[in-house]
This record gives sequence, structure tokens and C-alpha cells, in this order.
Amino acid sequence: MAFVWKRLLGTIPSLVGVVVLTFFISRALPGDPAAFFAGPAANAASIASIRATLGLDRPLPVQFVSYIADLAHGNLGRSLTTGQPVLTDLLERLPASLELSSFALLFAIGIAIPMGVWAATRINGGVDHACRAVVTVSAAFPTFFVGLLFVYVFYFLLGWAPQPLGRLDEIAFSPPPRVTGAYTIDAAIAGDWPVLRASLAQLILPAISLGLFALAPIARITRAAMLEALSSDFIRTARASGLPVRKILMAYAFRNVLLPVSSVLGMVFSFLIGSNVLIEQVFGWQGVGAYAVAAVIASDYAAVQGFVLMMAVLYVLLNLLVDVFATLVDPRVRFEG
Amino acid sequence: MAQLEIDNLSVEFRTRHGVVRALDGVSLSVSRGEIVGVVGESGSGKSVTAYTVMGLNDEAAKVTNGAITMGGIDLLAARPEALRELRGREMAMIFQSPRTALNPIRKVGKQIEDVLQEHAALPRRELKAAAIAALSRVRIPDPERRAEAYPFELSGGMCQRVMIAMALACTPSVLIADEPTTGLDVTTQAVIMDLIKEMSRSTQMSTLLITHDLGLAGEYCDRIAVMHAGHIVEIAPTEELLARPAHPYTQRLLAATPVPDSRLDDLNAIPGHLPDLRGALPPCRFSGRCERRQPICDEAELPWTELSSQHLVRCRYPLS
Repeated sequence: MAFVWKRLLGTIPSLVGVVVLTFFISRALPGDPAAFFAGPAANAASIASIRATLGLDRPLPVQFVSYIADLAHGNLGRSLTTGQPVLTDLLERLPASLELSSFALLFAIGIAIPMGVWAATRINGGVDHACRAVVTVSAAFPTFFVGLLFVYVFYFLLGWAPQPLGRLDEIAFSPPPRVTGAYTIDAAIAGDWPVLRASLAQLILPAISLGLFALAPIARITRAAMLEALSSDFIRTARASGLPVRKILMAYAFRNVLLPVSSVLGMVFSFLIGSNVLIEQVFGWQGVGAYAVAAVIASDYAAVQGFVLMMAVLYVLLNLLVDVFATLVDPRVRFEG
Repeated sequence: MAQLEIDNLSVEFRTRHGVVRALDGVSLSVSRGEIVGVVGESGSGKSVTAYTVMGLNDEAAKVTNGAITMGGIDLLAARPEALRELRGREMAMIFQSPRTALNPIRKVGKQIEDVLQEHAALPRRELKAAAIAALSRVRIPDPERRAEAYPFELSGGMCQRVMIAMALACTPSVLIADEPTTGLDVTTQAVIMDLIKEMSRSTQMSTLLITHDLGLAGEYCDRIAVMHAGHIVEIAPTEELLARPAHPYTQRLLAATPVPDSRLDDLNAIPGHLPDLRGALPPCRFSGRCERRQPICDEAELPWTELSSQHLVRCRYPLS
């Protein structure tokens, strides 16, 4: 447990860096929030007065100090576009993004890992060739293109999928009482099966288009790590000891593959949260990605900064999770202080 | 009949660059409680012989001729599943570099339990005690604690003891030791070899010791077979072979083995190298490196010369 605290302390410098960078980069964005906020009918005087009320007329260092002071109190500022505190906005939308990314990752893992393992046990067999083809195709197509293609085929042509307009068809259903913020989980908790069905139906296309992109690296690493494990000396020993094939594959080879695969999973999940930005646009998903895009377009400094900071914290936590998992899987992994 | 009988075994490897005739007419037998050494340089076919016996050869390997029997069971005709059940129970193998030969992320006690669980008719709750007993049989101090260790927490010599404990856990009748002391320091080598010898005597186990070290084989084996380029060129009881080598290759091997008081200059390297085992080969695969070669060596079929009932040499003009 001590190493978890040490790791958390070790991330403070990078978080400080993120805070400084996001502040200055968001100031460097083109566009004037005061002008945007004042609207098309504003004149120079009204823009200036809005700039003063937003505190944007002060010198940058002064703005920075007050930003840090607010941050220290857990105040991420107020969004110009929604008028709500940024923290409230983010917390409200984060579950939607996490729900989407998690389902995408589950889909990717569920296909990529069995495929990688199977491909490695029969090199140049049918599954191996299929694995190679899937990896190439899924790595080659951009996520948003796959998303659009899916919408065209499964909604427009075939009519199998519901309208790609958000997380739930809110005309027919009302969202379940909020517990976790993820509709599927909340609906299951409430025992509201029609809503669970409806929210899953909304989730399938975006989750698969996002997951396809995660599939390639996972399958490739699984296959490569599995091949390496299978040709190692200790597998030869296990075979010489007459252990059953199943045990050799799972308890000996696959257990050793978990370490490289888990570190890739951590990386892929961070990528997924990033690519949410695109998929959320395509499917009208009310997540943090769509929120961030709107904020950038409006030069909504507080919202952009809040989003980037939250992503940084997520990455840190994710990496920590991967490291904790590594110590559980591999006794050789030790963390020096 | 000997416990392990290899009779006229030939093995080929189908590779992208042609057919490699790795073994050609290899015959060898190991009786109960006997230690037979197989000696030769790298690529001479020692390990292929071992792997063929265990049924662990690469898929590219194909047995083209011959027979292997263990305790009367025809190993080459056995179904893969039957062979798997024999491995670890009736025949076991230990390898070089014991640290990498053990699963790095599984406790060593657990790895022995895996073997016992598969082959010994033991109830689940007795597996752990049996694994610890196996560790104490190879005289690992404090076996209860060592059973909980991972391979990286043990020394190379200790890992090799674990390997031996694992191989002998089900008291097999045949043990194949493939360069078991390579990579260990000299004192540990002696301890490990003493252990193997003691185990083989006490359980009447037939042991095949595969090594490139003629000195080591001379110290621990009852008989020694010398291999060169997929042929056994000479086989004899150890003292006989060391005192009166009859094959020019054996003689050169002995001359290339360091003895106390010898200097580097005294060691004679064997000229040339192993012939390419693809394509056409002369009847005597050593003829290209042999000083005593006659024109007939490359023409007529190569006979076995019987110097005594125990001492056979595959040379037309053996040293006397």
C-alpha cells in the first residue's frame, strides 16, 4: 500500500506541469471569449466591460495566480457557455464518457485477447490470418469514419440501430435515477429493463466503432507476447513434465502474457478517452469529449482547463491501476521508493 | 532388455533450406540404475536424440527410421496423449539454465505441485506436503520456506535442485539430463552431478547425461557414447573409452579436454567443423576432418568394428 502513496506523490510534478501548460495554452487559443460571450450585437464598450467582469483585462501573471488560488479550493471556475461551475459540468458528463470507453474496451478485450492467444497457438493458421486482417483493417480506418459508416449502414440502410442521437431516446424513455451516472448500470440497479435495453441499443454502435480502434494494439501485443511465452524455456519444461495443454496455455503461458497486455490496456484506455471526442460528436453523445469541443470553439478557458486537468488526473490514476495490477501478476515487479 | 532402448534411429528436419539429416542410425540403450553419457560438440545431435525420446521435438522434425522403447513401450507409436502422460511420470528431463527453465511467476513449490497433481494419485490437500517432500529429497535446506519462493529469489544451483526435485517428484524410470550443469559454477556443478548420480543409483533410474564436457561424463557415467554429426561414432564403458579411444574423433576430443596442469598451448582444437547435414554426405561424416582418411572411407558402407562386446567403434581404421 505504501508504494501507492509514493506513486501518487510522484505524480504531483507532472500535474503541476499540466496546470501551468493548460493555463497558457488555453490563453493562446484563437478567439476572444469576451466577444463570443457578448454576442453579435455587442459594441467595443460592452465587450470591454464583459472582459473586465471576467477578469480577462488583468495581466496574465495575475490571472494565473488567481486561477491557482481557485484551484487550491477545488474551484475550476465557471463555464461561459453553460453558466455552471466547470466541475459540476464535468462530473455530470464524465460517467457518459467512461461508460462508452469501458464498453468499447470490453468489446476490444473480448475479441482481441482470445484472437491473439488463438493466433499464437496456430501460427499461419486460419485464425492467425484473420487476426492479421482485422488488425490491419481496424488500425487503418479512422474512428470517426467507422462511426459514420456504421450509422449509414445500421441506422440508415438496415434500420437495425436506433437514431444516433445521444445516450437514450428521451422521447420514449426517461433516464434512470442517477446512482453512477452510467445509464446502463443505473437502469440495471433500478431494475428498469426497457431502459437498460434502450440505452444498450444506443451504446452498441459508438462502443464498437471506438472498440475497433482499440482492438488492433491489444490483439497484436497479445499474439506477440503469447508467441514469446510459448517458445520460452519454462514452457518446454512444462511440456517435458507432461502437463495438460490447457494448463500450459492458461496457467503457464497466458499468465506470463498478462503483464505486457495490461500495460497496453492502460495505454489503450487513455487513447480511448481521447478518441471519445470524435465519436461523441458523431453519435451526439453527451460526454466530456463533446463538452470539450464546444468549450474550445467558444474559447471557454475555464472549461478547457478543467477538461485537460481532469484527463491528466485520469491518466495518472489509470497508470497507477496498471502498476498495482503488475505487482499482483508478477512477483518480480517491485517498486523502489 | 534395457529400460531405454534406442534402435537405429534416424531423424530429419524439413527446413526452408533443405532436409537436415540430424540423426542417422543412432542406437543406444540405458539399463536400470545406469548412467550413460552422450558427448559431442554443438550440433552433433545429442539434444535431438533426447527430445525425440521425450516426444518434444519441433514439428519440422520427422523420424524416418528406427524405434524407441521404454520399459517395453513403443514411444514412437504412442499417441500424443499417452506420451504426455508418460512424460513427468515415467520419463523426466532436466535442462540447462535452470533459472529460465522454471516459470518465473509461479512459486517453485506450486510448479512441483502441478506435476504431482497431473501424475500422482494424490488428494489435493496432500499435494503441498508431497512437493515439500520432493524438495527435501534433493536436500534443499528449509524446504517449507523455499517452496514459497519464486525462481528469481533462488540461486542457479538452487533452481537446478528444484528442477531435479520436479523431475524426480513422480520417481520416473528414465531421466534425461540435458547439459544440467552448464552455466553453474564448478563447485555447484559437482554438487548437482553428485545429486543426479545418487538419485539414479538409489531409485534404479536409467539416466542419459547429455553434455559437451567429456571430463564431466568421464567422472559420472558408466558408459559413454560419442556423437558426431548425427552419428554415434564410438560407445564404450567409461574407463575403456578414456584409456583406449578407438575413433579418431574421440581421441581428438580427449586431446581437446583440459586436465590439471595442462596449459592452453597443450589443448588441441579439432580441425574443421561439422559437415553440412543437408544434401549428400559421405558414409563416414568425420572423413572431412580425419587425418587417417583413406579413399575407401568415402565410398563403401561404414561398418561397426567390435573391439570387445562393450566397445564399438564406427571406423574402418580404428586406433589400437
